[in-house]
Amino acid sequence: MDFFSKKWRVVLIAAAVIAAAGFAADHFIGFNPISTAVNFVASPVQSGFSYIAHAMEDARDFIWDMRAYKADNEKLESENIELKRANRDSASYREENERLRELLDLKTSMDGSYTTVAAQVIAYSGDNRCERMEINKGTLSGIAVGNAVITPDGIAGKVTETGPDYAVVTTILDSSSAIGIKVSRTGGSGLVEGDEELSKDVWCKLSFMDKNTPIIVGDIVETSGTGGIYPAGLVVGSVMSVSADSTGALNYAVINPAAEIDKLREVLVINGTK
Amino acid sequence: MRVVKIIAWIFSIYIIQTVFGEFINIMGTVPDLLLAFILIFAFHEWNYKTVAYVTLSCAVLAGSSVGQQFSLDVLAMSAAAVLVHGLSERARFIPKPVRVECALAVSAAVISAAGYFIIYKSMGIAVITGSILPHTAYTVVCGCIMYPIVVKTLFPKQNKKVFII
Repeated sequence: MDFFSKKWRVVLIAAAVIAAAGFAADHFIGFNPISTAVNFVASPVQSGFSYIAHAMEDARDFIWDMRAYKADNEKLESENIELKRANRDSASYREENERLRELLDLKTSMDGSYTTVAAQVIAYSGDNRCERMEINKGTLSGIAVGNAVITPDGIAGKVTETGPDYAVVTTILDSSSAIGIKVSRTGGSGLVEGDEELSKDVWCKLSFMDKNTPIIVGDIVETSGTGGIYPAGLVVGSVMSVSADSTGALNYAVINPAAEIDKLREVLVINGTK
Repeated sequence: MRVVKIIAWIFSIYIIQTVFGEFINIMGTVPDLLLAFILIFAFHEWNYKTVAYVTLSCAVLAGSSVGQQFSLDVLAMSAAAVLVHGLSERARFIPKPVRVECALAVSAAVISAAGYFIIYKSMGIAVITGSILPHTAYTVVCGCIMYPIVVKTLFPKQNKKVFII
């Protein structure tokens, strides 16, 4: 076949005419009507297929990115664990900070008339873990037997045994403990004692209250100052329930100690007066 | 029936090249599938009119695609088709696929280079090695893949071996 036979020349001429027409139109009127017509017809079809193409692209990208997603997920999980740990630490520090701040406020408020020593609870002892506890300060810090142990919330107990760098505190839940109190609302007096049964629930008992003295659930009881161990005016707890005792002569009330005896971390020991 | 097949081929290739370019794109290079189809078709088709219609249709479609040079594509593709049709009768000692792919390589390189030159008014080594050669190579590879499929679907009789005793 001749490359430039007449029939092929016709094809080339037709192509040249189309090309020239397109070029001329583009040059003189700013757009190519042939291209425009082709694209006008093809555009809706292309538009339809583009939905499929985009869906395929999304699916392909998702599959290709899955490995990256997995790595990212593992990284985020480890970061999450770290953040949770940091958050726990932060919350713990915040709680400790609040406790110490409250203790400091208490110490500051007591400093006018009493000398105090701050100590940390390092262990609970005894059959009932809430009846005795050990603190990390002892005689070397000026702590002696009989010193009152208090918290920002209320009284905790008294020192019953000391060592050079430790002291054993008998809490107000112990059955040997007895504190002279008065009811804040009425001024009526009584005695808060530890009770073997109630101490299991971290409660104690209010007794020796005159039956005529009105006492209701929710009343706050505070130290009366009698007995010489606890300064007057320290909160002991609140009345949870009231009933007459077996003789019918005295009121008997269950007290919920204001200090969280079973969760103490830091305490203040009152070791003298100014 | 054959006309439908040809239209289906052109339509499919046009859609693949224009809409599904993201899937056939390798490092920014998209093959010229329409050119590959035109050359394979023009090489095997004996009917002059059919070649002329298909060639001009594909050339216009290719030139109308976004980002293409209309005049250049129409002229260059038509010329390439005419030349490759001529090759079908020449150099018969070279296998048909080799002749088609060689023509495709030359055509793709020339059209690509001309397109770059028209747009950028310059032609450096970086353009040749970074754009023209990859485009040409990719087009030839696609042509190799398309060749047996196009021949089998549009020219089934040419596949049959004829034994003359």
